[in-house]
Amino acid sequence: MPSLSVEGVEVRYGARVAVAGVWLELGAGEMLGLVGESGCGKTSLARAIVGLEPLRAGRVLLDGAPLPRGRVQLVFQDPESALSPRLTVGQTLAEPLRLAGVRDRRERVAELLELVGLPAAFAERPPRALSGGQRQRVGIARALASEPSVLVCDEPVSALDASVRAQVMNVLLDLRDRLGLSCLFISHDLALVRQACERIAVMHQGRIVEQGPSDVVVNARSRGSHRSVTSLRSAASRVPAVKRRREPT
Amino acid sequence: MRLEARGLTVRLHHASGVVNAVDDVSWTLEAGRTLAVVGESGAGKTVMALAPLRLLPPGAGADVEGSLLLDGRPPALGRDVGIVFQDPPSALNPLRRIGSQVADGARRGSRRRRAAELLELVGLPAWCAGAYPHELSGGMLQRAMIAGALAGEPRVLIADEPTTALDATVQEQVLDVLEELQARLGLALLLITHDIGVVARLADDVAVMYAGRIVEQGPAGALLRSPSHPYTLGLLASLPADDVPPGTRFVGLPGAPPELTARPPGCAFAPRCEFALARCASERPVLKGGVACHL
Repeated sequence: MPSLSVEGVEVRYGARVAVAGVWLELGAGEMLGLVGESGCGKTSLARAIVGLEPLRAGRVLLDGAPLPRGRVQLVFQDPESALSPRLTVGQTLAEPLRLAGVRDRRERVAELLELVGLPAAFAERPPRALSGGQRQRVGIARALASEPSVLVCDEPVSALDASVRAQVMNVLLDLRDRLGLSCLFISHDLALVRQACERIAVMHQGRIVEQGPSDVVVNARSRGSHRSVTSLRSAASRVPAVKRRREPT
Repeated sequence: MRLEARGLTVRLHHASGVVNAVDDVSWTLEAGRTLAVVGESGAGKTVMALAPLRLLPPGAGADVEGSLLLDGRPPALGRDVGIVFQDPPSALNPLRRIGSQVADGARRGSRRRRAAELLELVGLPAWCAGAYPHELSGGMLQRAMIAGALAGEPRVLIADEPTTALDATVQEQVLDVLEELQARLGLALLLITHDIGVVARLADDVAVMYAGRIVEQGPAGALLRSPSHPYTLGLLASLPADDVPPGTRFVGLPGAPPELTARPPGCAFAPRCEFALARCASERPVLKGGVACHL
């Protein structure tokens, strides 16, 4: 049973069509990868799903019903600009809790930090005292404050070093397993998406042009696959083939 | 042509004291070759490249020790060394046309003709000369930056994270441009990056930096195939794997690099190293045989 259904969603900016009738289904507890080149409409689609862009056509449903407020949350690309420099981490996390009428906010803030692998003492810190990876974890914790069923992650690790990227990806995979969260994971890194997601959808010029199991989309020979996938695949294949394996830490 | 860094140390003056952002770093780069300097954010890669050329902001209060010499003399910015910065939208003046900015460092001929030559060299159409930065895509802006860096006909190009702000397919195009230019002009390329994929694609030699020091150095092929330092091993292991089932956890390096104001007395990587010995905590390893490690 799909958790999130995107049905014929269209987004326009004036005369320009950014999302041209996208259909997607995201199962409960599934991590679906959405890949595509810059300007293909990934971010516009993400914003439309969470209600930040008006829909010109189509609809977004959660478990077959119109989206309840707060049940689908967005994690932004740039952890640097996504957090207010004037608020401590605790204040940032407490704000959505206050709006939701939560009373024991201090306790809940500590729980949210624990969910993303940060110590409770981080609540007192300002964003400038955190590394990029720690900031992105706080961004994820803020998205979790309203207890969503679905996270839409818009290039959440693109600005991070490889080692930090791995840590944040593991936080998302842990959340999926612990909380049963569904996740639409947007990226232009095909290799990263292949490892994290069971299915991949490829977007090009506002449309989904290819969709299927990760291994099929990534490994399919050029013939029959969209040129957008081919060029992303070529970039992903730069990763050195010979690496020493270590056990996950 | 030989660009040589010998014992480069860069001290930065912070509110909390003086830190060695770069600590006793040495490397050699020759014509037509690419040296990639890799490491996590804050490892000192950019400071190492920019401080000897006096390109850090005056407020950074950088003291430079050691030397950076091109064939035995300090290199001149523009004429000897061109620089491609990480973020083209913020490195280019939004109020000036691309052609005018590209020709800024030109040493000969008319500025207009030189701008046209440089834009053609990086594969940009002639109309870009009359465009403002906001009218070009990220990839085109990065090509324009590369064109501008070549205006003074340098023999060395320093590219500081030239593809970080770009998406995967545009990254490929920019790397193609760098590769073609190097082959055509015989440029030496100092490539600063945290992207191992870029290293695998372009580098002849690699220097891995951690907390201001080089921890491993050597030919790219050998270093990527069989890294010796646990940090290099961790960096490579944290890349996505193509032979695991979808949904598999990523292999990450635990923890984070140390604050430079609180660098451990021994090996700076020891607190994150799963192979650390007792002496690693107190005794700083020296770079020997291309590796700075007690193991």
